[in-house]
Amino acid sequence: MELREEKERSYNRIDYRLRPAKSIERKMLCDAFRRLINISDFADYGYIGFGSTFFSDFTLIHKTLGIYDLISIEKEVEDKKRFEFNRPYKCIRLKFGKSSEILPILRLTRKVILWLDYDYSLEEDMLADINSFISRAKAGSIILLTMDVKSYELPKKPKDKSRYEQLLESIGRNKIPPEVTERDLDPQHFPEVCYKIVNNQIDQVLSIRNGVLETKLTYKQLFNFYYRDGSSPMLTVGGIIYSKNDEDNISKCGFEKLDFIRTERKKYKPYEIIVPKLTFREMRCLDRVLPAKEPTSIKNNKEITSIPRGLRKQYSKIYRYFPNFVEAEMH
Amino acid sequence: MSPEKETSSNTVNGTPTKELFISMLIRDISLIDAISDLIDNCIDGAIRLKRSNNFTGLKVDINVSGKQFSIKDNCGGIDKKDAQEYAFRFGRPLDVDSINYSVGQFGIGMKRALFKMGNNFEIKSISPNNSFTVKIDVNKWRSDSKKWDFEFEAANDNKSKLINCGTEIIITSLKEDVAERFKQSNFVSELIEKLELQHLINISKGFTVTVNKLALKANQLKLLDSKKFTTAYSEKIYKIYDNMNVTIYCGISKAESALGGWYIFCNNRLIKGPEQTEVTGWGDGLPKYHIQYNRFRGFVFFKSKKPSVLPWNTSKNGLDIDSPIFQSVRLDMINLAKPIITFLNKVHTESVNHSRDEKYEEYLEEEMESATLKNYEKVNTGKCFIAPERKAERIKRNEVTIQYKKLKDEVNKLKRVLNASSAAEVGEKTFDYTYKRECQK
Repeated sequence: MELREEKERSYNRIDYRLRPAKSIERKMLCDAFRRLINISDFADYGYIGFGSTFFSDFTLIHKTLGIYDLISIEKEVEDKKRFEFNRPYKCIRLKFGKSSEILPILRLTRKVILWLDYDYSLEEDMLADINSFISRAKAGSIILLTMDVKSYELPKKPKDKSRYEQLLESIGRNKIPPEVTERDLDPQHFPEVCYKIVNNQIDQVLSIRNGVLETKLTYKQLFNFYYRDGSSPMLTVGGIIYSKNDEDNISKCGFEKLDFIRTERKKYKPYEIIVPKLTFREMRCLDRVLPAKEPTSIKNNKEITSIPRGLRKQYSKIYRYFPNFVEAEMH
Repeated sequence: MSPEKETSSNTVNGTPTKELFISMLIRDISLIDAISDLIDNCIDGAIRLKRSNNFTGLKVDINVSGKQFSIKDNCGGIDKKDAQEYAFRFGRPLDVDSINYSVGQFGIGMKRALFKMGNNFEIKSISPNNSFTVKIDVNKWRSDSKKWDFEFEAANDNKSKLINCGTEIIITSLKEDVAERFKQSNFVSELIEKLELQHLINISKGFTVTVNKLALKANQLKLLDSKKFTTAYSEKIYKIYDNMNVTIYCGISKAESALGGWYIFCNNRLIKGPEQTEVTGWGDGLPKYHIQYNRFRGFVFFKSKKPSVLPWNTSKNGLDIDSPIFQSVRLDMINLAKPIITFLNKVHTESVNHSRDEKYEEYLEEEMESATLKNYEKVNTGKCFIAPERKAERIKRNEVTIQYKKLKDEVNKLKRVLNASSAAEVGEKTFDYTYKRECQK
């Protein structure tokens, strides 16, 4: 019994440090967050996330952005001591409970970067989390949602529920876009449905909130990542909420200059993080010729031409964010 | 083509008919809500007179029977000029100023209530500067489709002392179904129960309401309070809604399934409550209402100088759920309710565990039991609901005391049989004896 439970918790399932795509995503996000300095100083920002036992995002955010007000929401209350033990900095406050329980009681007095980094698939509670944040977050805040987007099992027996019925069960009819049918829920299209559902929820709550505001708020999408580290495909959606008065500052941020930024919301076109499987030697070799406009067209370098073109191209896109793995912790 | 009106070839007749008011609009309101609407007019009179939080001395008497309905107040009466210009009009003209924070505002309540109940009305008013009487025979009035005005039966410009000022409405020739219900004592009970709830704030401010000579009680909105519980409180002012003020109290109270839910007030008049449906987030933002949430109480007060911006419907028994202001407040309500739902879920888990193993303490339940019920305005409040938490599993020996009385002779007999030295020991030994035989295997 005990053993089975141990297996279920994701931090016991995967070593978070060894998930390269996730690590790349984290660094990309941080790179984009740096530009928020055009809106206000990071002393005005707080970070709320799910630190788990590794706190990788917290370490990065604290070290690179200098955000001091950090809250980690942790649902596994029974392991309280373990999380406290692993907390890397004093300024990280731990709150135990489900995000749907904790978020409503957090006072959002600062601008906040919220990363709802769920390790499971779409659930009603996620939409509730969107509600409680979007309805209260200050202008200049960032919301990010990551979820598992593996589709539902196909019904095997006649009694089994269809994919649509399973979706219905998890979020309810009024949250499913009207045009969605069973066919849209196959593994290829399911991420797009999840993307729409999240976006629709953000729009709905923001429009309600705007109904009583003098200065209306706008949501600008910045992030839409798709990647696979283990067996499950993961989707990240997010953006910034800002008021009309902030428009100039937002354009000063120049998020669009980063090629992984996705501001177009109407069409689902995620930035796919692909981690090329290269040897250390190959990477060092490529690093010496990067950045390059056309790394694939390098012809006169024999060392480089021995690396497949596709891998070269993939690496050139993400080399700045590529994780540096070590095999042992060094003192 | 209508014979009543000159129509040219390029116009379309859009004149309302009297039938719309006499027999259509009345379907949108229940008998009790119609009576409640009449009380609202009295309360507006009270607000005009007192402009304060104390209505002591002001009252309204309602009498219902199979023969007639009457309502009489001492709230200042209707000025003759107001009566001539708008009180009897169907709908309120745009240029009429409403009383600040009033509850009557649609210009439909009184007329609809009258048409709902009967065919003959007599309205007598004494105001400080004048008085008048209007008598209306609905059948006569409806027969002339062109003439909409009513005529004063009597009117004068005599001055009156404020203490004697007021309005009285008597309705006779009651509709058959209405008369039938007015005869029933259960209807009167239901009326009293509803009115006590709908007007509880004004009653608690000293406004007296009697129904068939019985004075209505001031119900209180009570919440549990102790050092360990904090009721969630929020107050917001909405500039773009003419500075509408919205306050929310959200906490826990007595476990009563019929009373759990949200209570929504507009200018101190209860519009909806206890509300346990999607309208207030149950099953859409919050879990579906369930018996385990029967301690939940949420009180929302919308207040505005301009009643027309409040999110109520004209029957004042429902919310204008599509209004942006209600939609936005609903989000706040859900946010404030969440921690209470979490807490009540824990209480539920605790009771399930306790029913499986009686040694499992109902700690949260005990904390609630030791809290006291207070009027919502008197409890500890904070930005969000705070409740005590269960410590890591504590197990204490649960002991209870049993006391009972028995005949002395019989106790003495048992004393000998059980070789006991006191009555207390007899009690213990008989318990042990029974427990051993009946409960131990």
